[in-house]
Amino acid sequence: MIILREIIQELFYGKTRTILTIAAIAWGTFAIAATLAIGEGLRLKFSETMANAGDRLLTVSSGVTSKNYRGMSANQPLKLTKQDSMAIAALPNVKGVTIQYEFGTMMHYQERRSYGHFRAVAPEYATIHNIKVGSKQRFLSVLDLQKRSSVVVIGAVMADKLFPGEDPAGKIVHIDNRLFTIIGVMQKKSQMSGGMPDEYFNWIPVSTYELLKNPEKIDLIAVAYKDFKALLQLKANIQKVVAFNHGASPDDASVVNFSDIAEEQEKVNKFFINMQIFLGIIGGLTLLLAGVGIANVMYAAVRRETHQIGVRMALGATTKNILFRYIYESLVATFVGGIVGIVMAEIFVYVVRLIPFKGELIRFTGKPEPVLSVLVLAIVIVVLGIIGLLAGLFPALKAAKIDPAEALIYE
Amino acid sequence: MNEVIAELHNIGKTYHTGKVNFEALRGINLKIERGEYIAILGPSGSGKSTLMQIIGCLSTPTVGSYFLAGKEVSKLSGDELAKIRNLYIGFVFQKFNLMPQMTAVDNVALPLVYRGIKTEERRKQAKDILRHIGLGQHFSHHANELSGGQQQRVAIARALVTNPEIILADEPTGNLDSKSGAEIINLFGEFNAKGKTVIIITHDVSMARHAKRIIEIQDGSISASR
Ligand SMILES: Nc1ncnc2c1ncn2[C@@H]1O[C@H](COP(=O)(O)OP(=O)(O)OP(=O)(O)O)[C@@H](O)[C@H]1O
Ligand SMILES: [Mg+2]
Repeated sequence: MIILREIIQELFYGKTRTILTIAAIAWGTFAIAATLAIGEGLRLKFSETMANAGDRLLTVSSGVTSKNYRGMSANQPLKLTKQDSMAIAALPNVKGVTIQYEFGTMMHYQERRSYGHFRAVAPEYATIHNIKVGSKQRFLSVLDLQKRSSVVVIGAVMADKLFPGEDPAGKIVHIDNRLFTIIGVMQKKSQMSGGMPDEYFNWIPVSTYELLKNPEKIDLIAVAYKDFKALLQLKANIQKVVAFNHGASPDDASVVNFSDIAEEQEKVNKFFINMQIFLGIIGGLTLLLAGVGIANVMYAAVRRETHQIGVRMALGATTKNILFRYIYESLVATFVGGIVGIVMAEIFVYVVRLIPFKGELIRFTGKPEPVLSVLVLAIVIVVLGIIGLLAGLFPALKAAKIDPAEALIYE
Repeated sequence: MNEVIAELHNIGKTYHTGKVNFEALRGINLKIERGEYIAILGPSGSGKSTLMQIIGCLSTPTVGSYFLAGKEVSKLSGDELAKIRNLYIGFVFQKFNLMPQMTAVDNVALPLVYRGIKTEERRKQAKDILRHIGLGQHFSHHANELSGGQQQRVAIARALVTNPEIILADEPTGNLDSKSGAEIINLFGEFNAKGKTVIIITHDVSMARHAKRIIEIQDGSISASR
């Protein structure tokens, strides 16, 4: 059998050909590995980011009736009530329900003031939305809720505007002409979904808001659920319950609006997987071109070595010997090029991680970093193997068909 | 009488180039006994190389039958012929035909690769033969680092390493000066003295004189045998 040493001697004998071939494969490998690594990095970053926006959380907001039903006419806006939230809390697959109000108003501190978005929420909000406050600070508590305390947790945006260079914790502010104590400042986190990022909001206890404003409708009911698979059923149940409470048609789908983070996450994930497939195909095509390059170089080699092949056959080389010799040569070239390309991709990943990124998007998401995962490497290696094999096979078949008597005359 | 090693019966070879058919050999009958030293002599284009290709199983005849070591080989497949060449024939060419990228040892060991012999063993055998023919100092030289005579001796070592029945040499001294040529001829004589068959193709009468039998070819037929 042909030995590796001989093949390597052979490869380095025709230096230019070898270097070109290996460079082409290295480039192709680099292209496929780097694009897949970038795609993988984005996908991982985004799903992490999405998870930060709250897992297994379904938010329900009021809608508008779309049909006439027993004295209820179409195009009536619904107002969600406490009764609705209690009915939803009693449904199967529901872990917990919190209600939420949203409003916008000015916040004053001494002579400074700033407009802010507010959410009146329950303490569970922090867990569901993964909100953390600074050390020695706290989010709204059950006690705050019971006592209807005038406390507020502010977001990073408000903290920057009202307290530049100061620690806002413990400061007394005016919200709507009432005094509130700041008990916490939200720490920054990556977040890409669920509308406006949390850092733009400020939070007060839901009971305090009800006491002050006596609101006639609930803006949002946040439903934490147990089983993602039963989500569709849960949505249908919520819609029926709300429709029943308000005397609307039980199969009127527009009485409530849902926003569901897990579902959104699923969509984003699918998008990235599709992007990966697309990038993979592009990278694969690059490698395929490199493979065609190898095949051409090998064809030229077979043509140039026709006489040598004739001599080998005269000495007893069989079809198989000649065939394997060129396939091995192609595989060795592909392998060496592949290693070089993967090393280049590793260096690329390393360097990209060192580069500091700036910009609005990056501020919310955190920095996406390319990832050369095992899956990416496995795909690259399989594709390389197939390409090396095919690129060697066709020239090798041509070599094996050479007639030794004619090849020996041919110079 | 010695055992017959090769026997050609009414061999003909026709080349087809485009629409033209060319009869390079016709009606060749030849019996070669083990241990013979034969020179095939003839002018250029007479069909000497064609005959050598058939005797050496590099190509098959258009008509006729050919027995090598008691086996009819004129209708075998390419791979079967490759095995037979590796077993029975040692080729020596006018242009040496060494692999330029390989050392002398690797060149000599090449036929043993196709015999499936392990690396160490075949390198040992190759070195033994190279030492025997006086190239013990040139194991790791490449072809371009050797003189013509040395290259042809490496090529002969390559032909001998498989210990073949027949050495087939096509104009082996054609590219050499007379001194190197004489050394080559001596090596053939030595091999023949061990009872092996040597067939040399030449158009040089003085070369042919070293052989014990001379076969003359003209226009694809044997014109004389003495
Ligand atoms: N593959 C081939 N196709 C067509 N014609 C060929 C082929 N090989 C040889 N011939 C022709 O057959 C004839 C004999 O060729 P061959 O090579 O056997 O002659 P030769 O006696 O060895 O000549 P030289 O002394 O010049 O080497 C020549 O006329 C040659 O042109
Ligand atoms: Mg000739």
